[in-house]
Amino acid sequence: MGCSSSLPGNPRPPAARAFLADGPVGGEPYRARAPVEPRPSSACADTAGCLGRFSRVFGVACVLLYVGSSRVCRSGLGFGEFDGWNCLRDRASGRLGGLNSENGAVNDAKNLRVKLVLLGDSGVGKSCIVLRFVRGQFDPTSKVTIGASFLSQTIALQDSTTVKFEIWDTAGQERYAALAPLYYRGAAVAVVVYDITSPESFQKAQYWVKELQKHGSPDMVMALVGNKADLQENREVTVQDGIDYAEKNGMFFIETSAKTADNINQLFEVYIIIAVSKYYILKLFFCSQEIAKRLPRPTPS
Amino acid sequence: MSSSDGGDDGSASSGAGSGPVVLGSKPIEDGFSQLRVTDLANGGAANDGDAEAAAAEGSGGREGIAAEVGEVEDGGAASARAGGRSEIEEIGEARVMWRSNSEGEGEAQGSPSSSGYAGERGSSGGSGSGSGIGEEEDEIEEVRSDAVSDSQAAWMPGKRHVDEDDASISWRKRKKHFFILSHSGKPIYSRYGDEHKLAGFSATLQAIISFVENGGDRVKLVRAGKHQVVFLVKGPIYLVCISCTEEPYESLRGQLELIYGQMILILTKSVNRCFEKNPKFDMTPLLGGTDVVFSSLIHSFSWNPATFLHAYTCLPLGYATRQAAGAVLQDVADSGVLFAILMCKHKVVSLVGAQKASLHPDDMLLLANFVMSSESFRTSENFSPICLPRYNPMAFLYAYVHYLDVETYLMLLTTSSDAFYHLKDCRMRIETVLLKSNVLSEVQRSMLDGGMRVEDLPIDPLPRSGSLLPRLGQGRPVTDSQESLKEAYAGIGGPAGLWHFIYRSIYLDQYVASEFSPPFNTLRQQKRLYRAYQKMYASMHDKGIGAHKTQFRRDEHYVLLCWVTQDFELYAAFDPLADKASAIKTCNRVCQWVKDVENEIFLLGASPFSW
Repeated sequence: MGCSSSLPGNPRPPAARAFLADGPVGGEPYRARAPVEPRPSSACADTAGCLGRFSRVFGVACVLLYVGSSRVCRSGLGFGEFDGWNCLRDRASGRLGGLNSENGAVNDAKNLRVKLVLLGDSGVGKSCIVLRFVRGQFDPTSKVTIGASFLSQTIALQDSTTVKFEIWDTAGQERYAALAPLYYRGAAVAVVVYDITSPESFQKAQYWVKELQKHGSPDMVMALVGNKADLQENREVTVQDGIDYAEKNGMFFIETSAKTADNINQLFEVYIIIAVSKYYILKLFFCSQEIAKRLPRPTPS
Repeated sequence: MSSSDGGDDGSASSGAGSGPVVLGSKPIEDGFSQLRVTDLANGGAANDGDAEAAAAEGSGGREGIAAEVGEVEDGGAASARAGGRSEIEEIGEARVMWRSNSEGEGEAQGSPSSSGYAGERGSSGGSGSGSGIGEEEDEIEEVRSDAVSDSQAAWMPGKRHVDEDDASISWRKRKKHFFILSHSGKPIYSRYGDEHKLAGFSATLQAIISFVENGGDRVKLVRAGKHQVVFLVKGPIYLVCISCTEEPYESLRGQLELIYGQMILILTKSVNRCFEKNPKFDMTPLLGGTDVVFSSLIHSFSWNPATFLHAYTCLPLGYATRQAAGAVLQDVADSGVLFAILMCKHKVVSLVGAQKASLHPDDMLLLANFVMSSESFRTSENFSPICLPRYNPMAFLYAYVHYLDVETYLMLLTTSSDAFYHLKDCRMRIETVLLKSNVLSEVQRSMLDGGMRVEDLPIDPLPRSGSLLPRLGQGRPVTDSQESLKEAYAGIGGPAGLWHFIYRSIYLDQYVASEFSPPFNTLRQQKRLYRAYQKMYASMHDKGIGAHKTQFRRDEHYVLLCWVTQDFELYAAFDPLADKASAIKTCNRVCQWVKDVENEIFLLGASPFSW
């Protein structure tokens, strides 16, 4: 599909993901321990900030569906705010047709499905994060994951949009490393987890980031998560190290504690949704471009 | 035979009892006479039997039991032979020492000293009861409540005693050790203790194996006093069992084979390539987190007859119910699933394979063990690579595993790595059908009701198309003759003093075991019976002697009757005072009974030859 060639594309490979690294609201940088917001919906109502924008996304998606005009779409979404959108467009334009099955984040206007994979060294708490998010439980007795567990969780947003997370919780054991592509293939979001008390796990996280950059889908949204944030006294990896590494690699960063539930909902319901919705917005935009091209153009007078 | 270096105090010239300094040395010849190196054809090897007792280490009065080993690993210079010898010597002595204790009274306390293995049983030596086979626990420190009748109830999964190593007394006293090591001597797995701390000990085991291999031979078994050291070499992987449980060699070897199979199930045989690239390859990280899998397999060696029968067992279910489950699994299998298996604990509810694909009972055992021992399968749906060693040891299959309720789980195996969503759909379809047709509730009821009970053995060869289940569901109608016979045996067991039986159908690769009932109330008694069956099985399948047809054996615990035909094998345990003729008659009745209810206790039609 040729839309990329007709637009002033600006391919910037290293910054390919950089647009995701800016803040959820107005480009404000991600903070390591963002203040806890109870539910995204309230954040949305109060601040008309990030989630306001998010729900607008879905509103516009509807517009797109029955109006199908690129002009409307563009004004509705305000693409100018997103730095780097056009470079993403370059990549995305290659396969507009594959929105549904190829990519983990997809769907009709009201129901978003997000395929998400957790990667990281064994024992950093990947399963604990997932179980905390999906079931609200925390089980301190460690249970080694075999292969990968699959869990899903649907959350409803204020505007009755639902987001269904399909989560692959992979095993951290070395023997499964070679099989990881099986699970991250087609994922919209990769969450790379390390343990803030273990520098080795931070190293391992960097290994995973590199692996994903090399073999993962370039569209994938990546998150770096420092878990076990409740163990401040044993901290070995500083917040700044995490932020720095995440920024360098175009990821967003957050520290969590599955034990205290700190930032867990934040991670999924705010950060990931926003990151995905940004991605989604752009996808829609390119769709609309495609559709617009096929529509009869009003003749300029 | 070259006398060895360091560590040996005096060298005895030959096996005869010119034993060196040994405390309580009376029965020393006895100990040595037990030393026997099997399968070492090469001349010199037999000399390994030369006994040189290491200095017994007991200082003071209470020493006693723990035998000491010569410096196996400290003598870094010691040749492989020296290592091997001290091992053997030592255990010979262990026997001696143990005897001296059992006569005496000494509080069992080994004294720690040189490193090396001396896994003689210690402190429990004082227990008054005659120690029959299997009476002793595998682990002396394990306290088991005799009241528990469920054979798995008292067992906690997971690796214990990680703090031990070969220098700890407790470690040496363990009755049954299993080791996996690499051909360069690197430890891979040890049942007890931390693998890394056992590096020296593994190197010793490796030295023994490679010494014999250098002579163009293979070591299979070293018998030393009460101990047997069984070796199994699988390419670059060595497996060793050191046991004083008096299990037959064939059984221990079969257990090592299963452990190897379990490892293959996790990693496939392609790990061998890692060793080709780098002989010093450290395999422990690859097996990270699988301690529970191995420990639960090893535990099953003392309760699960499938481990030596090479057959699986089914959950008793009404014929129609099992058919319903089979039909929906068959649907799924036709859609590209290689195997669809529905199990409840270690019992099969139904099982379907794609055309031409057949599942070996050992693979099922290993797969079920893998799934049941890994907690992570219980929390959610899971999609994992696994390898079926008997199906194809080189390749991974992908297993979709999902627990339908607390004990019932569905496994769908496929060769395609991206079939997850398809399998998930299959599972939802299967689950719906199973719920609708009440299979799941039937399964739960059957688990509660249990299987065949010896008390229910029909007395008269009624020509009825017997059904097991209705009777189990609503109290059991008891005929008069049954009643009177029972009274004669004071309420214990079934007719003619039948206490327990296992029936294995050869064509079906399946077995059925009766439920444990009095007097097999305790785990200890059940384990003893299990070991007796195991011994019986080994003797019936001893290739050297030729297959027996029947065997009748009476000891102080029970009468064991074994009957092997082309179609089935029957193992039965009776009251020790049972009459032989009536025992045989009862066995006939058991066979008839099994035939009558075979629709319910076996999965029929799983083999392509039956309709």
